[in-house]
Amino acid sequence: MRQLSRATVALALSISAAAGLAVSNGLLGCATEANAEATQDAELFTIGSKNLLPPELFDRNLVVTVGDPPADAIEQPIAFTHTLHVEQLGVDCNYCHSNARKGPHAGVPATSVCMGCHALVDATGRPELEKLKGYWERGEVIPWNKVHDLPDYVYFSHKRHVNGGLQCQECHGEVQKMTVNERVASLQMGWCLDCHAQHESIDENYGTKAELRRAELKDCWTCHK
Amino acid sequence: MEGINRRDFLRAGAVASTAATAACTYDYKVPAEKVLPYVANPENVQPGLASYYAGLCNGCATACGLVARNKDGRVVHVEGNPDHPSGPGLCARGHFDFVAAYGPDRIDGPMLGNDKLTWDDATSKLVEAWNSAVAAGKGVAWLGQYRTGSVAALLGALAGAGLRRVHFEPVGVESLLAASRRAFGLDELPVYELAEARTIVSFGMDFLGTAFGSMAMTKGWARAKDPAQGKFVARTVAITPRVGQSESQADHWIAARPGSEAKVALAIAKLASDAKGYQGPAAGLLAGIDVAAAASASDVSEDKLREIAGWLAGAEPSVVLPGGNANAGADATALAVATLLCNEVLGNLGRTVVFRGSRPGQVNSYADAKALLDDCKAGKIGLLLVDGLDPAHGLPADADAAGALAAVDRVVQFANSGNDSTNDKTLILPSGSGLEQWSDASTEHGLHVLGQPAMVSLKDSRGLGEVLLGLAKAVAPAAPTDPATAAPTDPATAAPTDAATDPATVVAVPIHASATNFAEYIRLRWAAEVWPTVPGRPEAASWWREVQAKGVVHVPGGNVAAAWVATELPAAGEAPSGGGKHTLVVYPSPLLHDGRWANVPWAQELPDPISTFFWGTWVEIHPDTAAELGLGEKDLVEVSTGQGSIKVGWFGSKGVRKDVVAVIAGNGKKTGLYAKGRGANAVSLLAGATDSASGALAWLSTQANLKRAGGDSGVHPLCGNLDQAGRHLANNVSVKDALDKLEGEAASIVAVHHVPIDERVVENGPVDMFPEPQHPTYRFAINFDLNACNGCGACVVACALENNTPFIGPDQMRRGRTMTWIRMDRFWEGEGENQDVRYLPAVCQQCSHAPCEGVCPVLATYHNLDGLNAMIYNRCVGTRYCANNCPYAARRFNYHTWEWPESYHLMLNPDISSREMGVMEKCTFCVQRLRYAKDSWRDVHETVPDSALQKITACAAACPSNAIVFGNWKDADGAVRKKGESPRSYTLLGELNTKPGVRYAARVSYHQPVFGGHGGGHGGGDHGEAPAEHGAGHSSPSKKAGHGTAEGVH
Repeated sequence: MRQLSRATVALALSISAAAGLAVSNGLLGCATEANAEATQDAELFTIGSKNLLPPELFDRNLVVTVGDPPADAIEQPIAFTHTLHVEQLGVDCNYCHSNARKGPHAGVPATSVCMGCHALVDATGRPELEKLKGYWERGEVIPWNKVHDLPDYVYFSHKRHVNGGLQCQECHGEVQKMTVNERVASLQMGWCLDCHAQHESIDENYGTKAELRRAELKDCWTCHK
Repeated sequence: MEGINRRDFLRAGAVASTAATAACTYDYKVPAEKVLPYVANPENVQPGLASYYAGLCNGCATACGLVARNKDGRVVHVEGNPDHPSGPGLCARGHFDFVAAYGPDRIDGPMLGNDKLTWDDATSKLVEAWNSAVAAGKGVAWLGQYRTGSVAALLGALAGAGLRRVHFEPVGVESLLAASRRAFGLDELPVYELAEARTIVSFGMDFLGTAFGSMAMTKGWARAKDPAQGKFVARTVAITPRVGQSESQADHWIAARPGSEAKVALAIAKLASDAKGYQGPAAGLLAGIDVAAAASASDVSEDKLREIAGWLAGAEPSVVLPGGNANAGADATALAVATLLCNEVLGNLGRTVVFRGSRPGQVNSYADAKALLDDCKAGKIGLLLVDGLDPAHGLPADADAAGALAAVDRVVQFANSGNDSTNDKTLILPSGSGLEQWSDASTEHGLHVLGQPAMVSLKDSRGLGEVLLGLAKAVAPAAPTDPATAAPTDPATAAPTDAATDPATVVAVPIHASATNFAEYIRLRWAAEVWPTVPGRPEAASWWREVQAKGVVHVPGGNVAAAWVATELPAAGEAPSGGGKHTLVVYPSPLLHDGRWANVPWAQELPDPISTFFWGTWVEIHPDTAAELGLGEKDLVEVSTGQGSIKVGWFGSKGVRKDVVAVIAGNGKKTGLYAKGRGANAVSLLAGATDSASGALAWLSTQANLKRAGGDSGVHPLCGNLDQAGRHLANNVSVKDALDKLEGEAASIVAVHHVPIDERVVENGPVDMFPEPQHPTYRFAINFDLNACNGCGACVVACALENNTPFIGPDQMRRGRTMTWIRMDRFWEGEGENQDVRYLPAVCQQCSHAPCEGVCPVLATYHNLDGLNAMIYNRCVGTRYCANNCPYAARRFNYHTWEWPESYHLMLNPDISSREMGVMEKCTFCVQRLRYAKDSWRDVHETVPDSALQKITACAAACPSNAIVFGNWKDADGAVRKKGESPRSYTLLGELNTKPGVRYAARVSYHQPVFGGHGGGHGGGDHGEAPAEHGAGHSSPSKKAGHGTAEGVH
């Protein structure tokens, strides 16, 4: 929820700043009113309108860079490598990310899935495997860092995309060649729409109804929730 | 800005302001979130997909079934269980039970005064208290709400060890039970089967609201009123001093003088028996009834009494309902017996009045509860266990519950937070929510409901059954008595046997001695008591799995033929007294019930169906009385009786007699995060008189005086208007039209409002300024049947909980900033007997030609291919143009970012964004559920079938009376299309040609037409020659007379 608020407010306010004083005054008006309305019930009916318009926002000299964010690698609690597991050992993506075919989240596998094989692998003297074993034995959740993170206001179903015939690599990049996972796509709305407008799987799957499906896929309510 | 397009500019702004708001700590490339997988994935749990658990509703004693929807570890929504006889649908109070599980002031572990205890400490203190009470020769007592099932069985075992059980509820059934005993010698409640009743006469039972078994009665009532179902429309007559939620749906309101109802009922029985020539066993009782005396005592003319008796005798079967709490005076049992006599005389027994073992467990009366409290005060009780009640709030001052509790050595409360009855010696054992633990209930013969944990407990709580099992093991360690039934078999391993078929031997088995936990106790008890009754004796292990999946076992049967045995009628009670000018009617709140949901903010904020007031207590006064007192709109009124006085706001209601004032109960608590200090306690005004025949509290026994107290009451209606200003919003049609004009054959029989018609429009049909939107696959539509809607508000609260709609508090509500997406409009036509309260659930109409869309400067709202009026929060800049242009006032603007208090935030539905300041929101037809259904059906079927759509929205799923049907208008066989093509169907403000996706079916009533109420396309009053309706969804007689198209919903 926190992420949603941040992004929506940001967008709304930036538009109001762009649209000129009329609208932003309107918003400011609300905020002032909100302050005046603080009642003795304030603790029970907590409202977060008080600090939504920080003065920095109106700093016209603020310098920002436009463009896709850099896809730098993110450090993980265990130095897991897809190269070893996928490319060298030939494990199928679906073996660990089995939910991708069934539901919205592909899911990071439960530690028990790792241990299905690693119970048989000697961890001695191999620090990363010892870490894994440690998590398992302590019954502790491995706190992976998210690499691909969609905003909370977006509905996204892996099932629909995977069952529609898309390859994992189309969005996630050549994961089988990554020693450390990176995000290769921007995951921004325009990037999503590029495929929703013209991906070849639409024709393959929907045939004569492909045109209709393309129209449906461009509906905001396909993804925005 | 050269070389940069609009989207990049906005994106830049977004990044800039994001950076700024987070004080430059937000780094785009490092997502803040972790992804935490399971250590070992539980079976059948898939992240992102919901799991459903059948369960047991604890909203009231009725014990309906529910289905809890668990998403990623938390129950995020509850719905009625369609496998339960009372389902589908779940009333508002059932939803509050779910909200209460997330209450911010739930305590975390047992508390003694201000000290937190471990469970081991707490339970050993409990056993110690029991033992020391017994050692001191003092009593051990139980004062709690009605309980059935395994908890009742454990209490039975404890009773064997000396526990004195008192099961009492302020909104109780003791007088009805006493009446069954007197009239028929049956120790059970009559079940009123309304579905086939042609005439329904009620003496104030809140059969659509707080009454025991109201869900089933609501469904029966809706069916009895549906002209398409039974080819008849039931006539409903209410004989009460006040129009409440149930009475508001009556065709005739007979305002008998309070206290005279029993006489009226007897007079009706006498007149009906004369009409029917009744010769049965009760005939001897009828001879002495004086109709003329009843007429003069009640203010109801003899002719009117004859007319009512004629309606009852003339349309079979009928049903006569007893008085409810609000109407229960010192003659509550006499009234209930008189209504049973009416049913006996009319031949309704076994037809609409059925005895089949219905009762909410052990029922004690107010007199029993008071006797226990008196013993407490006398120091005779060493340990008092209080379950679910708040005696210091819910009982009249006369009982002095607080004083009595203070005189007990140890009070143990099973409650999730302290309440008004808690003192610093009270040991509170938090029993958690029904959604977190095993439980069961059985309130009717052969109907068993199983509750199971649908999520991990939010706080350190332990179920009531678990604690009682431990206590029973400690203080009642009975050895098995009968070797044949000594060791009940676990259904997981059991083979069918013929042992344990006789319930009498089974009850003797001390299961608590062998069960190690309460879940096992339930399983063993069901194996011994329920499983042998199931026809065919299914294989035990798979049967138990099926029970868990369905949540309910229903083996119909157990009907008892009731034979009249009473040879004399209970003595009439005393008339209301106290020397006041007005008779005081205190009625249980349809939302807060007896006050148990007062700490649920949604319950406080949901407008009352009659006054549409919220967050407080108010008094209903006849407008003439208000004028006499010179009351201003905001004035406080002082209501005083011999017991004290309260100062509350007032609502001018045409539905109370001039000599009556009605005060809503439930509020006025001293504790509770949201309940504290809200309103005043109406029960404190009662004198504490009882009905001598049953010991029930006489709610209607006190007189009150009114005084203008000035000041600012702070209470305020959501719907300020009573009348519709001639706009034909909530329409009625006559019964004759509804029955004559068959579905699918007739044109509209609903008279609607018309703008003056231009000749060219008559000639060519209306001209649209915009092209017709395309709906290639779906045109989602919804149908509200106003004939079944009774304004209960279940849809409103279900919608709020599904769609993360916040409660905003009394201050913001008074500013008209309500956030609920469904507004239950209440209009009030008619006067006197012809009271005509109309409800209209107003949602976003999902117009095909939506006025809101064209005025949005940023395209945040648009019409999509499924016929939905989409709303994209990210795009919205909050100009509010759309809301200003919406003729239905269906849009809600977020004046603030509502922050959800700790632990309510866990209840948020992750499928829906939470909106914030400056964003417009509205009903989406639960697009998240549609999206999920389309996604899951796409693999097996091209489109979602009608059966999967009918109840898909939260409102439709919640509706207790099946008034809401959802579907795809393009499906010619779909339920919504069929309903929408009914002659009763119309669109709201159809003259605006907005082509909504929402249609309403007019109410069918026996009311005298107020305006245009008598349809037939002749437009009753104001526009005599006008055609039936613009853009009506049914074939019009001619092009000139209407502009109907094949697609009624565009």
